[in-house]
Amino acid sequence: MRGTMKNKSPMSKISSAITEIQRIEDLQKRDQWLNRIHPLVKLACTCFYIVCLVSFHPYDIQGVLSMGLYPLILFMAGDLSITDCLRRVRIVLPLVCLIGLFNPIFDRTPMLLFGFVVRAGFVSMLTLILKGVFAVLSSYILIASTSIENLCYAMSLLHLPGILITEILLIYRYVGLLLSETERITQAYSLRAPGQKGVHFKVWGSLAGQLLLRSMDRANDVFDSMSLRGYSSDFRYIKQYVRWRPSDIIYLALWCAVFLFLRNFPLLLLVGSLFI
Amino acid sequence: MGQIEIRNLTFAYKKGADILKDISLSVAPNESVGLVGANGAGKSTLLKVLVGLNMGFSGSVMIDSVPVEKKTLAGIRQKTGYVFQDSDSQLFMTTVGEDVAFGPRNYGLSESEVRARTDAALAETGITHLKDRTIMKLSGGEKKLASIATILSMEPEILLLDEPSITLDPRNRRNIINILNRIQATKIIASHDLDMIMDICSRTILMAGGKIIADGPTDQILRDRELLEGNSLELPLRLQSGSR
Amino acid sequence: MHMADALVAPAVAGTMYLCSAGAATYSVKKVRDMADPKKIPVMGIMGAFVFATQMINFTIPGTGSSGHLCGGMLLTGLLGPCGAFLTMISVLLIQCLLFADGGLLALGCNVCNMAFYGCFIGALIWRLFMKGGMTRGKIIAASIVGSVVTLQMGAFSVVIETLASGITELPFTAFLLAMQPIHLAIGTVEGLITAAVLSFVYSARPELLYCSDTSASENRLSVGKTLAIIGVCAALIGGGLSLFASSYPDGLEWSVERITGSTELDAEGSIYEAAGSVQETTSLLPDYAFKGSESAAGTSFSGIVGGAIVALVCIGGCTAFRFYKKAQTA
Repeated sequence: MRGTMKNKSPMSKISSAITEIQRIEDLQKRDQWLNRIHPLVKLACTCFYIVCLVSFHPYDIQGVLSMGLYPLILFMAGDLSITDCLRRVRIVLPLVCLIGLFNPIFDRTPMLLFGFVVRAGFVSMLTLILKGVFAVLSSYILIASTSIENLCYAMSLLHLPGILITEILLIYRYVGLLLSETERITQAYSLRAPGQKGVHFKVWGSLAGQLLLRSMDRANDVFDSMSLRGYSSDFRYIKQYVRWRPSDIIYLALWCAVFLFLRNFPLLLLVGSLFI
Repeated sequence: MGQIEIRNLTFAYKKGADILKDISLSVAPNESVGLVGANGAGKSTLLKVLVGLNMGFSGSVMIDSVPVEKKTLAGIRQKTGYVFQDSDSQLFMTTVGEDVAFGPRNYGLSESEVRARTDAALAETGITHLKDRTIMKLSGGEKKLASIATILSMEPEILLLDEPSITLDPRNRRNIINILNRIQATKIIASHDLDMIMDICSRTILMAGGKIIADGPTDQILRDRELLEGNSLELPLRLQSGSR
Repeated sequence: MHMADALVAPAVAGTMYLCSAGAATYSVKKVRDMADPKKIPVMGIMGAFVFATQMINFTIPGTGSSGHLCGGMLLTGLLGPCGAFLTMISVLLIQCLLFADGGLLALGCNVCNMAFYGCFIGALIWRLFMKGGMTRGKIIAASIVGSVVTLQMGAFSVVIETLASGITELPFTAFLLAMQPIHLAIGTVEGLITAAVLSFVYSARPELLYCSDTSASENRLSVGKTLAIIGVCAALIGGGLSLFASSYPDGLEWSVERITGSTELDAEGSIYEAAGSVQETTSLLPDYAFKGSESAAGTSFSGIVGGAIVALVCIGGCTAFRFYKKAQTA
């Protein structure tokens, strides 16, 4: 389902996933003001931003553009690289573009865009793509400054079930390991099957199946390791506590106010009319 | 304390295919025992029986005069630490500190006691600086040290180690040997690294085909070339140069 | 099939979040009731396994292209519906955070489209096939049928959710005709991979498979209960969407018109109207700037000027802020 017809070599895909995880972890570990903000505040802020963003009218391109303020400011003030982030956009953008591309075809109502007459569908396509990009940027700001452990802590404050949080942390713990294991197994395969782009159907079952059985064995060992150290049925994965600071509340309140303002007043037009 | 008493232990994963056959042995408190033998001799299986990971054996297994059975497991596991061969199975939390604190926390210790024990275990293994590190980012040697710390934080009286020196570079291996020598506890170390056994253990048990073939002072058993070579082993490296 | 945030309107996202949360609550309760402590690590590691396996390229015989695994049906065959569902939620959340695959807002939709059908409907199909004992043939059949059916449902949901969000002018039937056949192909490949893996597991360690132990029936999801859950979810989705549609009847009429074959595109009846009204309900203050399709965006050049000025001010401010921070730490 994920890019079904891609012909990229399996190795490059897996190793790039591993490097991406490590890169993000490095960002999360930085000692930055953005990283120190309470995780719940950042989570709430991101969600509110995305809700405001996608609720803009499809023709309201200036409104959507004005929402670019949030990523612009945080990318600069938070010292994040926009080029690193834009590579992530390529995953979601194709579907968004594909769907958006039909708008100019079906919606031919004439419309003025910055002084030019264009099809209304063209405008709605642009806003759709902008929304897609901005949503990815804002999520990136969240994950580049907040570790998964801290996000899980924020989710536990929201009373998400403990099982789910435990699963997220366990999967996150073992994703790197299984990615490397998968990389090794596919590398070993391709070394003995030169010229093949993927895994031949005759070994579909055994290649992935072997990996699965090995993972099951590992799961058994992990369970043993847990029970040897007193795990019986329920354990709280998270014990950490992130202290609230007054600046967290100010940060949240400020951004919410900004989003509401941008959502309801055409900032760019207002500023522009001051000068023209 | 930390005494182990095994009488006529027989164990099989599948009926009819005994992995351990009629094993009897006793280990005194604070004794260090090396467990050697070919692949599939039953070393790991024996260690797992001691902490109740392999139940359904026949014969008797007692730790400090308490039989290993379902209802005594909690108490036995609290005083018996088992270090897995694969550190990635041992360490399942996201950071080192959290993982080391897992055991004490689960045994219901107070948070201040948990913290004290975590710090002590980290200091003992010399990895205090790794406390907040993600496990994914540790090297093999650091993972092994962290694995040992997760067990030390439970202050075990018995320490069971499955191939602790495997995949380690010489310096990390030496480091582990020094740490294990410092720890005061009953130790059983299953390994193919006979030189390490010589450095740590005063007594060695040789297993083959699920049975104990020899049991005696390390100096005696690990010098017996005929015995070792008859059981898919070799003399420890340090003894080879002189004799060849 | 991962939907991006841009493709969903807040109302649709909220509805789907509610449905997913309902199914998740049920699953959490079910997994807890099972009281099998081993399930926790097994679910976690299987999740990581699916995450990693999704990146393997499986060559499709005779085409030269390759397919991928999504894993819903595979997890169901191993963990049963509830465990598989919770695992899939976690996988989707991590993917959305780490790789921007999907989105935070669209997570509810993605969970429903990929995890809910794959796990609950998938389990239903699995159980129907496994009645009266497990065989390799049944495993293969269940995997393929399950994957195809659940992916078709998922694709259909994507169409409905996208249209209900009012972000596309694409007619309902055209969208549907594009999505369903593609996902028929994807589903078949997914089914074949799942079948290959599960039949391998069957020959090596059959006890790992869901329903392999016919005696442990008390832990299983009954057909009736599954239907009840699906019914409740359908009612929730239907209710949510119709609430949405009834206040803006144009949207629904528009879709119906598409289906009945009216070719003329009526700008007045655009689903955008619906979206526009949703905005008014979602925004806390009355909408000052825009009414209808007379967008304020294009009326003058001032938008561009304003944008440039705001951007300049921000960049200037941020540069000053960074300078200040650096000076502070130095």
